[in-house]
Amino acid sequence: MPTSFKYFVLRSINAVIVLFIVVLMIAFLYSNMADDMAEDRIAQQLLAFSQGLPEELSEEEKEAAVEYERNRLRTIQGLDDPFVEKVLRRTWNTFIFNLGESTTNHNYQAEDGFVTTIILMYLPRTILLFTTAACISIFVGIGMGLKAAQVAGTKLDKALSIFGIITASLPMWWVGMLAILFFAYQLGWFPASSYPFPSKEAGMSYYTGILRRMAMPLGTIVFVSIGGRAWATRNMVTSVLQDDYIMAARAKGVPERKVIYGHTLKTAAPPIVTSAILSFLLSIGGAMITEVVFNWPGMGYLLRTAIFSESDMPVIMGLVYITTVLWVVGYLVADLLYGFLDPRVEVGAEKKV
Amino acid sequence: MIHIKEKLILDVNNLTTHYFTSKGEVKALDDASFQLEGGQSIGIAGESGCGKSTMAFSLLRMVQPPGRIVSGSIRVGGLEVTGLSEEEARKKLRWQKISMVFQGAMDIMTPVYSVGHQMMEPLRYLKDIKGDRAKDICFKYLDMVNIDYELFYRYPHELSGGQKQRIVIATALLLEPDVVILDEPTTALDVVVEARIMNDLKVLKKKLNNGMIFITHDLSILAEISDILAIMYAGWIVELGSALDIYKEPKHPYTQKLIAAIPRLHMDIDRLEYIPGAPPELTNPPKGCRFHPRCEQAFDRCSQEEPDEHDVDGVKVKCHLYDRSG
Amino acid sequence: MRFEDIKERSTSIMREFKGQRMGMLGFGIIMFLLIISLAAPWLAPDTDGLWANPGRWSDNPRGAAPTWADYILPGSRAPHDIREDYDEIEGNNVISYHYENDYDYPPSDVTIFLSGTSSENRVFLYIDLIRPDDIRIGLVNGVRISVENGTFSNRFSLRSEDGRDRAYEFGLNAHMEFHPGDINPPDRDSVNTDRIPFAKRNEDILLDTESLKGTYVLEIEVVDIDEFEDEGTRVLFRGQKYGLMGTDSSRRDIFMGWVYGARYALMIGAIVSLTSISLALLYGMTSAFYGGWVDEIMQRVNEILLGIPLFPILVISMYVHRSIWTFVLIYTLLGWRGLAKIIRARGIQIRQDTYIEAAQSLGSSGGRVITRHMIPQLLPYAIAEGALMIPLIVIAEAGLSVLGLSDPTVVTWGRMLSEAYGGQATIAGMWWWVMLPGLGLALLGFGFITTGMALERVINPKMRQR
Repeated sequence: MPTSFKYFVLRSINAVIVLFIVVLMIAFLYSNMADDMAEDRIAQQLLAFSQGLPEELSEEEKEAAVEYERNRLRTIQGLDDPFVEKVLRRTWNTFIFNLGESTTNHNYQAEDGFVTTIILMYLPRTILLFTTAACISIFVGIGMGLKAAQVAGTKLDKALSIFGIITASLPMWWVGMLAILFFAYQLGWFPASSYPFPSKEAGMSYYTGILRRMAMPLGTIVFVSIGGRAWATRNMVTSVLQDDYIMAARAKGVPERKVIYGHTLKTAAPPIVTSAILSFLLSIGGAMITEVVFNWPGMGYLLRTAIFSESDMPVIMGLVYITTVLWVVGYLVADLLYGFLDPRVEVGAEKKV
Repeated sequence: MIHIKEKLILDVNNLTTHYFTSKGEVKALDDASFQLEGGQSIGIAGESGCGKSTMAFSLLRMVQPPGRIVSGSIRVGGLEVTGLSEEEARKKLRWQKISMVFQGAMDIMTPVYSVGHQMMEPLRYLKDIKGDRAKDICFKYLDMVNIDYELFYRYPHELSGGQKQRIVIATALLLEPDVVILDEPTTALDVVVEARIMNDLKVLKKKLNNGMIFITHDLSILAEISDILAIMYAGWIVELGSALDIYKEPKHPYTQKLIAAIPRLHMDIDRLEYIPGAPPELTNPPKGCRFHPRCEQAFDRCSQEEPDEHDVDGVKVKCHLYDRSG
Repeated sequence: MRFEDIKERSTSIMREFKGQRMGMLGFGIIMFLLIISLAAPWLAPDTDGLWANPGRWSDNPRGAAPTWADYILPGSRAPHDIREDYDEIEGNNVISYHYENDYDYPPSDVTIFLSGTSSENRVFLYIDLIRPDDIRIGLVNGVRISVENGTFSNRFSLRSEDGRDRAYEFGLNAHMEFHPGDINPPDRDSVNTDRIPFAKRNEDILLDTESLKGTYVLEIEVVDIDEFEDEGTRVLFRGQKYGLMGTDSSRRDIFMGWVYGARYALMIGAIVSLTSISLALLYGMTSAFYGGWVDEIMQRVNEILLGIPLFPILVISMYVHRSIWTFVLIYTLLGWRGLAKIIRARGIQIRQDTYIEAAQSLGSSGGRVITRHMIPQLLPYAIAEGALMIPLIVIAEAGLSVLGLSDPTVVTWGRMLSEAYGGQATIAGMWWWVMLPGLGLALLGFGFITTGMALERVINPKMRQR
C-alpha cells in the first residue's frame, strides 16, 4: 500500500538522521581527545625517527629532517585541519564503519587489530545472550501479564504487580552479582566467571559449556525484566478492558475467549509490542554491564576492558557506535511494527505509546 | 409466519441492584418497576449517577462486579432474566431478546476490527450465520439507518461520529430483539446529526414494532420520541407515566424542576431554572425521601419517612405531597 | 495562578496520598535516605574526598563482616579491638597485652605501632605471642631499630612478610609433627597464614584451621629503652567484624561510603530529575499552547531527539570527562524528551477542554489557561514522573561506574560496587560488600517508584480503577 510505504520511508529517513546526529555528537565530544592521542603518538614516532637518523648529519640538518617528518605525519593525521573539518571527517568515517585500529598491543584474542574485527568477534555473544533473554522475557512476560489482567484484583494479580515493581527498581547487574554470590559461591552450581570461553574445537562440550556459562546471566536478565514486562502488559490490557467497545462486544454475545484474545489483545497489541521492544532497547546498557559482572565476553565486557585496563579509544568509539546503530535499528523496527499492527496509524499521525 | 408476541414485552418488578464496594453498599437502583408493550418506547431521565445506566446493565444482565441484582424480577419477551447463568444470558438473552446502543460514540467500536467484522459478530456467535448471508443481513439494516454499504469495509477511525452511531444502531437491530436500549445515543454528536438520528429512530420504531428504552439526561429529546417517561432520582423512579401527562403537568417536585430547566425558544435567559445542591452519595442516602434536602416543598415527614408510590391521574409519583390517606 | 489554588490542590493531593499504603512506605524510605544523607558529615567524618586515600582507613580491619553477621551466620567473630594502653609492664622495657579469644573466627591480624625513647642510637625489638597452650611464637627476634633524636618507632603486622613467615614456620612445625615424613607440605603462599597463630595445633593447622580459644599474651620487649611513649604505642587486634556494614578489602568502612553514596545518589537524582521535568514542562506546554506550526516543528524535533540513545552518549562523554557533572549535564539534556511529549499531549487536551470556558469568562487570556489550568494539572503529574525517573538516573550512574566510568573524586554506591567487582568480592564471598551498596540502590529505587506511582494514582483517578 502506498501510505504504508511512505510511512516506512519517512521513518527510515528519520532513523538515518538520528544516527548521523549521534555520530556527529560523538565525534565532536571526542575530537580533542583523539587529537591529543595522535600528538602523543607522533611525538613517539619522532623520537624514534630522530634516534634513527644517520650520525654524520649536523644538528641543523637533523632538526630540519625531524621538522619535515613532523609536518608529514601531522598532514597524514590531518591534525592541522580546521576543527569543523576534523569533526566531519571523523563523523563520516564512523558512519561508514571505518573504525580504525586498536591502539593497544592487547589483541583481545582477535585475528587482527582492526576495531571492526574485534567487535565482530564479541558482538555475536552479546546478541546470543541478549536476544535469548529478550525472547523469553517478552513472550513469557506478555503471557503472564495477560493472565494477570484476566484475574485483575486478585491476590495473584497483586503479587505479580509487587514482583514487577520491586524487580523494576533493581539494577540488573547487581542482581547478577547476588546470583554469583548465591549460586556460584554458596551453592557452586554454576561457574562464577564465564571467562575463558570454551573453545570451538571441543565439539559437544562447547555447547554445554556455553549453556552452563549462560545460565546465570540469562536467568538474571530474564528475572529482572520479566516482572516489569508482565506488569506493563497487564496495565495496557486492563486499560483496554475498561473501554466501551469491550463492554459492547460482551453485550453482543461475543464469547469471553474472543473478547480477551480478539478484541482486547488485538487492540492492545501495538503498544504492548512496541513498549516491549523499546524497554529492551533501553536495557542494552544494563545488559552490557551485566556481562561485565559475569565476565561474559560480549560487548559490555569488551567495553570495560577497553576503558579500564587499556583506555583503547578506537575500540570504545566503535562500541559506542555499534550500540547506537543497534538502538536506532531497534527503534525503527518498533516504529514500523506499530504502524503495521495499528490500522489507525497514518503518515504523520500521532503515535500512541 | 405469524409470530404472536406477548403484548407485554418487558416487565420489570421491584428491581434492586446494589454495588458492594469497599466504601460500603452503593444503592444504585432501588425497587424499580415498569412495563413496556411492543411498539412502545420509554424514556428514562435523570441526572448522572441516578441509576439509569445501572438499570440498563441490569436488564442486560451485565452489572459489573462488585455490583449485583439483589432482588426483583425482569421478564423480557417471556424470558425471566434474573435467574440466568452467565452463559445462558449470553446465548439466550443478549442481542436476541434485548440489545443496547452504548453511550459515547467515539470508542464504541473496537479500533482494530473493520466495521463489517464487528457488525457480523452477533450473527456469527449467536446465530451461526456467516459469510455472504451475514453480510446481506447487515446490508439490510445499514439501509435502514441510511448508511452506505461501502462503510462496511472501513475501520472505525475512518468514520464520523454520526456514521458510527448509525452503524451501532443497525447492529443493535440485527437479531430483531424485543427491546432495544439506547443509552445517551446522541450526546456525543452535534445538534444536526442528533436530530436526524432521532428522526430515523422514530421511523424505525414504527417499522419494527419493538420496544425501545431511551436513557438520557436531556428531557427535551425524550418529549419527541417516548410514550412513557420514567424520572429517576438517586436510584429511585420518582415519577412514571405517560410522557404527555408528565410534560403537561409534572407532579413530583424534582420533575417540575427538571422540566423547568429545559431551555425553550423565546424564553428570557434569567428565568432558566436549576436545582440547587447535588445528588446524594448512594452509599449513605438521606433518611426519608432521598430528594428532600434539595426540595423546596419538603416538610417534616419528608426527612423521616420514605414516601410510597401514589397514583395521581394515572401517573405514579413517589412523593408525600400526594398522600391522600393521612 | 493564585496561591490558594496551589495550596488547595497540594493539600488535597497530600491528603489522598496518605491513604496510599505503598506510597507512604516508599515516602518513608526516601525520608530515611534523606536524613541519612543530610547527616552524612557527622555519620561519616573524613570520608568525602578521602575514599581513595589508604591512610584514612589504615586502622580498620580488612574485609571484615558487619557486626550483626554474628546474629545471622554461624560462628562468632572477633571484634575490632584497638589497645592504646598496655595491660602490664615489667621493668621499663617489657610491656604485654592480654587478649581473650572467645571467637570461632580469631582476629584477622595483629598490628603493633611501637614508639619509645632511648638514649642509645639503636634498640633491639623482641615480640612474642604466648598462646593459651603455653606455646610461645617468636614474631620478632631482636630486630635492630635505629634511634633518631632520642625516639624510635616501628610497625609490625602479622600480615607483613615477616609476620607471615613466622606464622608459617609455626604452622609447618606443627604440620610436620602430625604428618611426619610429608615430603611436600603446602608452601607459604598456598596457605592462609593469618589464622595460624590463633589456631589449634592439630593435623589441619596449615589447611583448615580451628580457632584456639583462651587467653593470649602479646609480649613486647625492647632492649636499651628509656621509656615507651605514653600515647605512642598501640596494638590493633583487627576484627573479623566491624561497624554497621563491615569493611572492604582496602579497609574502608562501607557504612561511611554508603552514607555518602546515599547523599550523592539523592543529589544527582534530584538535580537531573528537577531540571528535566522543568525542561519538559517548558517545552511541552509551549508546544501545546501555541499549537499550529510551532507545535508541528517542536514535535518533529522532539521525535528526532527521542531516537537518540542515552547510554552510548553517556559512555562517550563520561569517558571524555569523568565527573558527576558530565553525567548530570548529559542526562538532563536527554532526560526531558519523553516527558515533554506526554506533557504536550495532555496540555492539548486541557487546552481543548478549557478553551470554551476560557473564551467565555471575562478578561480571559491565554495566560489564564496556562496558569489556571495547565500548570495546576500538569505540575503534579510532572512531579510524579520526576520521582519515577530518579531510580533510572541513579542506576545509570551506578552502571557507568561498573564500566569504569566513575567520578574519581566522589564515592557513590555504583563506585563501591565497581570496586567490589574489581576486588572479586563475589568470588571471595564478601557478601556485605556486594549486597549493602546495592541494597541502597534497591531501596532508593523502590522508594521513588512506589511514591511516584502512588502520586500518579492520586492525580489521575482513572488509573485507580480496579
